[in-house]
Amino acid sequence: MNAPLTDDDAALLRRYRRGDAAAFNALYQRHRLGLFRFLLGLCGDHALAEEVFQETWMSLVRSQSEQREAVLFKTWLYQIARNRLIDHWRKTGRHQAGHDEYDEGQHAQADPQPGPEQQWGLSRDSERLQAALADLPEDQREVFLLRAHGDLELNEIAELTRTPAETVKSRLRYALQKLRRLLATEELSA
Amino acid sequence: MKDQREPLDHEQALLAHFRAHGSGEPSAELDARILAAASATARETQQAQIDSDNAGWAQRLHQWLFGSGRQRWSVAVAGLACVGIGVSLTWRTLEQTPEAFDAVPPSVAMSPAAPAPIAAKRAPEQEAIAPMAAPQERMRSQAMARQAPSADMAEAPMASSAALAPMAELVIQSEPREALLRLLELRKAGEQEEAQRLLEQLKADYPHLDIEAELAHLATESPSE
Repeated sequence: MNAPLTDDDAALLRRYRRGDAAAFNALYQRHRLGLFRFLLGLCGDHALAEEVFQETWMSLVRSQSEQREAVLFKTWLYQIARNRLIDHWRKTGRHQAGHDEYDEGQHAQADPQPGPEQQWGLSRDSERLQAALADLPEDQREVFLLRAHGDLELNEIAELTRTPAETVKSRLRYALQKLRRLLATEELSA
Repeated sequence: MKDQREPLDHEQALLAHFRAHGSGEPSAELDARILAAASATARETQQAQIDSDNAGWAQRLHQWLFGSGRQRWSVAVAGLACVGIGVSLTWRTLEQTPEAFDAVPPSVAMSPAAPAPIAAKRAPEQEAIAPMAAPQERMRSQAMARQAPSADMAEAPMASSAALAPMAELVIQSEPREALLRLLELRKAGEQEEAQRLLEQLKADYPHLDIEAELAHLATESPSE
């Protein structure tokens, strides 16, 4: 009889390394949607997201290494995916525009807080959500996606992106402000 | 407090909104492909474990050395090299030990200083008997050559021969002296034939010895003795 699949990620990975396919299945179901949406939100290309998603899981399958004790499995998984996507961009010669200065400067000004009615009236149309995400600078979008879909804490995002924690915090704040404004504006204009 | 909590509430609301209404998910085909690959790897791992449980010691050793992804073979080679060096050093030490015990100890090599006064006291006698000592000297040098088994040890036998020289000369000089005394006694007793045979024997044994002079010397010495 199989043990109930409520183990933490590291324990599931250890069981999989010992030949337990069910443990991998549990691990996969736990993270598949979040990881895929992180990749899709970051690159905006469904086919590319699927390619990188597959490479990430396959590298995990082929690798014999155990998870390092000090790092969460989730952080490890998202880091692999992020590195694969960056590698792909490098190979295809995609230019990563640096919007940080412009956007952080722009959003540093006081943000008019929308009222609660506006908050709950945010657009639920997935295309609008995707468009609002695409409108974010890349660094802010990455932090927001890691927070929203990866459910990572700020210090974990800082470690993963090798960015100071304060920078991560400010990027997330600007991203949230901009998304709120964009979605509320669209809702009002609709 | 309320002001601090409000942005957090807004953040959580927006994050939840995106989680709930975000779109996009991997295709079922992609899911199936990844899970199939994972299952195949898990089966291989299980099979490898079963094989490992059934494997002989040679296969286990091979798996231990090369199968885990670590470079354990280098550790094994280093261990073997250390054992080899240890055995070699031990063997060399064992080979050298008997020679070290055979060697003349430094205390003996330094001992010639003690008998030196005796040798000096007997110097006049040695000068007189020196020609008689030639055959014994030859034999003694041959014996010394036998005692010196290697060139490394050449100095030690030389030192010991120097230490033994006075004793050897005492032995050498006693033989012709006794024979000469016996000859004198025979002559005094008038046993000419036997005295002549002994004289010839002495001439044969000590061709360079001036027998008559020695006899005269002994004849002058003998009354005082």
